[in-house]
Amino acid sequence: MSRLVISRLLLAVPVLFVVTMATFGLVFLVPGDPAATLAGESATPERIDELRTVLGLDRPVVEQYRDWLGGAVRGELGDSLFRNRPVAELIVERVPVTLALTGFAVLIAVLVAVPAGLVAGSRRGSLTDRAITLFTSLGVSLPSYFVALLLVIVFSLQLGWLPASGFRSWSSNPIEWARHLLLPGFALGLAMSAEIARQLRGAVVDVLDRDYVRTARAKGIRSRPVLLRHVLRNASLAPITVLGLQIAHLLGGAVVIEQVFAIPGLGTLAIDAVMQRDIPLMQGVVLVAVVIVTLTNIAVDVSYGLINPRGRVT
Amino acid sequence: MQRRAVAPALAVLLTISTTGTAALSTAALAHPATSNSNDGLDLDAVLRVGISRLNPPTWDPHKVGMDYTNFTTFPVYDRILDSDATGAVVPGLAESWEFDADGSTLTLHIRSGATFHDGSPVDAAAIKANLDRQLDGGADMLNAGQLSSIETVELVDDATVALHLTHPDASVPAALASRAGALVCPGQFDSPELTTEPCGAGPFRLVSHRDDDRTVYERFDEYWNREHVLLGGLEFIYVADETTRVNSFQADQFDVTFVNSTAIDTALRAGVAVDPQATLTFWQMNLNRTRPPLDNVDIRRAINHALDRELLVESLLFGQGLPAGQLFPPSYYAYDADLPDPYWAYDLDEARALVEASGVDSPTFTCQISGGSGGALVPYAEAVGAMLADVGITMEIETITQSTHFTDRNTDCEIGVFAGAIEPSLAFQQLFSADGFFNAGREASDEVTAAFQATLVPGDDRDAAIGAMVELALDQSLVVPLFFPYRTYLKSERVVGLDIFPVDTTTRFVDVGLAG
Repeated sequence: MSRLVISRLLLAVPVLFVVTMATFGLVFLVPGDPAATLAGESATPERIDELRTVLGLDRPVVEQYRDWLGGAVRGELGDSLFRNRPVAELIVERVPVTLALTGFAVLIAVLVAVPAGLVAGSRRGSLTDRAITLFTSLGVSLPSYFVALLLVIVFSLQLGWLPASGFRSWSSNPIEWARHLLLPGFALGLAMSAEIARQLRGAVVDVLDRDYVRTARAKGIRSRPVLLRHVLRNASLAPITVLGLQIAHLLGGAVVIEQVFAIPGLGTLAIDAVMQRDIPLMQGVVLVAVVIVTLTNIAVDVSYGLINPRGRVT
Repeated sequence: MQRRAVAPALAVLLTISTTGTAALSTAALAHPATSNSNDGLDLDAVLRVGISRLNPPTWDPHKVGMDYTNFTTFPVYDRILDSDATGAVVPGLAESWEFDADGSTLTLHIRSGATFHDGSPVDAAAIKANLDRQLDGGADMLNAGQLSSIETVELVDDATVALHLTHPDASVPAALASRAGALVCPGQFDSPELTTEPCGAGPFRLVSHRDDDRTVYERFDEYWNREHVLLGGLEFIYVADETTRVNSFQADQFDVTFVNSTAIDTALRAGVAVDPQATLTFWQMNLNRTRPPLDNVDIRRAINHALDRELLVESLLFGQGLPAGQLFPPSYYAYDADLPDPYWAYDLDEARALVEASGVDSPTFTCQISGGSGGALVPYAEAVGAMLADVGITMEIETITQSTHFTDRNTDCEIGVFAGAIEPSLAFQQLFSADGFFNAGREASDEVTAAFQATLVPGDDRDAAIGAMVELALDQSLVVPLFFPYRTYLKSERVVGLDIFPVDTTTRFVDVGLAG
């Protein structure tokens, strides 16, 4: 197991290198000048040039990337051009917010998907199965921002139960923290729950035909224990793989959802960094996103072993 | 929570705002404003304000170049002078000011009794220290350019400062009413904490700030104009998306917020009361007047006559804008009511005649639009192109990620936004002078240069000089403004004192209160 984790971590190094280099290059292909933006509306060209020198933006791109990479290896991500603060500090502030949002989304997705997938799979062809299949089709098809606005209209504007935007920290008020994350978490988690439910339904249908399930039933074990102990465990590999893949999608989706709900997470930071061409900040966010996705994939691999004893051998 | 009909709510859903964040800049309820009756106000209430952008790169106002930061920094930092809702300069920490006879010295008379948040006095020495800090500073003093005509700052006595200028410059008072005139506690100039812990002489003190989330202020009880501060504090809540701001206002998460033209329509359809008003910001076709066929004044005039600005506003802005008939909106103090408005009537026959008279055969040019605005500019450019085609002018559209029209200056035209400048001479400098950033060709005729310089001379003739410069710019079609997009407050019935949306879009929270 530890060998698996170490090899995956080592594989992440070249991925990080390629991704950060590509991001850096893309930034410089886009026209525009952060120094001109920083200098303001009435700045003279001389003032902009001075600022460019101060910020080191007049140096060759390769040199700038080399310096950034050297700092990143030592754990120094530099300072944001537009926020006058260390990038690492900004990211540390934002990661918990985005993790809370995506955590809520995963929780909601699993809570919705597991019962839905089990019920649909075990009652194949029934009205319930068709209703759940319709729900999963809709869930996969509807864009998250559309779902978000629909939820806001119903639960914030019409019913007045939940806030339409914003974020509260856990430490300031746990109940408000949860209230502010419920709608964005649901909007973000809906597509994921639909995808997991579809996978789980398919796997359940497949497992139900297996000999060991028939044997269990023949032994007189009641339907629910069979489903929960034998079927769910064996059917869960495919949904867990999907869950792992969906984490990367969740991070992308969080960018949109954070914008719609005005949540100060990593996504909002990423959008600002891109719009302002805040290069150190953009690099920092990309780095963290790659690390999160890599760690998630490792966690998924490890979970295979935990669920399936055969997986522990390899 | 009041229940609302489904139809307007769906209208909110269907009108998903495509506009970017509102560019916030300044402006003003003047400090020595008309006195409000305080009866029924909760003087310790905290006003919750939904805003589109926070995050000043630093809380040191001298090191910030972007106008939108004024909204968050001005509650903390009073300026030497101030401006009112029409953009006119009014007293601030200096209670009066005057130019000498030849306009080369500006004398400021500082009011007594004002203090900084750290308890030090706001006196002539503090004003000189703040100005010298910028004039002697390096590249990070981003507003020093607005003070470039100041040669020396003389401390006359404890309450008087004389600014000796290199040349007459009537725009200096407006500069002193903006970030360049913001007063920082002199004892904090070199403190690294100033980046995150502002120290000024404004009506509020910063309590906390979290990027992209919220900024909280408390009232400064030793403020010089304390009786006009009608709130216990402010809470600015960051919501970039305009539709989300409308929704959050409806969900009672803010007492007040503001939205731009496209979201005004969203708010209207959702049943929210609005009071749309024009600001100094206008959309324009910016022409490089050195490149043919735009170097031909008849072609430029033909363009102005060929544009049906009312149709643009009605069809593309849901009617939420003012067709630009002049350079400034009527709510601005420098607006010239004696000039025709619209200066260029929509007249296709006149436009065709001008094209004919220009002697240019099949006039053709290319106009850039920046894709950075999320494609919002495309329909405007296409509509303008179709209108010009009607009079025989071909405008090709080039969409690029970020416009190079003002930086590389190798393109004919750009359709985009001019954020406006609070001082008319500064707007003229940016748009028309040979070194103006928004003068893409960097050329200015002797006549334009002379007219611009005349506007810099303080005195009784200045208003006439401003009027003459505007008329010259319109006559020569140096500018092709399209419309002034509206902005509006959305405010609860409890909010008092926010009756006029300031032309420079920055609210001052003095004489603003919440009913109890």
